[in-house]
Amino acid sequence: MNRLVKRYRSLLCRPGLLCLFILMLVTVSLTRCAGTEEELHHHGEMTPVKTFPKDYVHPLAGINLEKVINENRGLKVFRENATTVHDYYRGGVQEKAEAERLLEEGRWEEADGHFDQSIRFLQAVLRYFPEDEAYRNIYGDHVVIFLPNLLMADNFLKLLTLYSKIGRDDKIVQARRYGEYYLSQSLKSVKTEWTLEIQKGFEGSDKK
Amino acid sequence: MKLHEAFKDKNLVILKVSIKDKEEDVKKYKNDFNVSSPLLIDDTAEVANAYGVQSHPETLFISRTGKIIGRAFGDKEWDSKNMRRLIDDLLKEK
Repeated sequence: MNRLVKRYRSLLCRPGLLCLFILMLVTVSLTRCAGTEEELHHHGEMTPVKTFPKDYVHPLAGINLEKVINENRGLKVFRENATTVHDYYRGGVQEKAEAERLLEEGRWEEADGHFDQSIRFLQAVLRYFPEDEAYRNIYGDHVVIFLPNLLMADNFLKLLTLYSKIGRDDKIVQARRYGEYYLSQSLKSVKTEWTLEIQKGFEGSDKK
Repeated sequence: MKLHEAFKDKNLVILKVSIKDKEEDVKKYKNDFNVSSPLLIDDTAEVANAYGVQSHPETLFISRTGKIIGRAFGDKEWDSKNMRRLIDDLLKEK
């Protein structure tokens, strides 16, 4: 962690400190206008959301899991602290990122727990925003890749592998059914190359 | 009276963090707007990322125990009666 962050954290967590802190994060100049469009999105500028033709397929380079994870990094969202849809979306992505990491390491049971948390966060998001959008003002003027249905589908696809590794074949059929449902929901509003990859994943798993 | 000055003796610390700005711009802003609270520079946005900040301006309320107890997005009237009442209430909490 950066030295500056440590300094802030130590300042805010000093034992015996009796103060309430208000931390105002601002930008004071217009130098940010020199950023690329992607950077402007990342830092929440007043960038208008682009519109795309109905059948436009967003390329993998523009929309992929890594980008979604990078957009939602930051202080960990705890379920008890989540209050806005934005918090729940970030929480869902953060839990998914952790689950993916554990899956890579073959830590199946731990990964399962984080996928479960991710699904719970994203289910809360979908109660309020049931449609995927390639780019959405999730609050105020902040634009992010917003694909809760697709993230759910990807979670269930990964769970298919995980369940077969831990010998829970009884859960595979249901996971596939849920995954395909969320994939179909996502495809109703957005098409991406990433979605097509996930679709192939489900088709491939069906043949096994 | 500004919020920072009104509450400076009441266990409230206001820190402004400037994200990805040049030092000279921050100095100019501090002078032009007569900013009395500390204004810190987060030139690589590491602090903003660590706190999950994704829009500007964003304000975090951090309790005495270091827990984030609230967030406010966008500009607010920080020296309004309502805001002062809110801060007074937060300061009463143990």
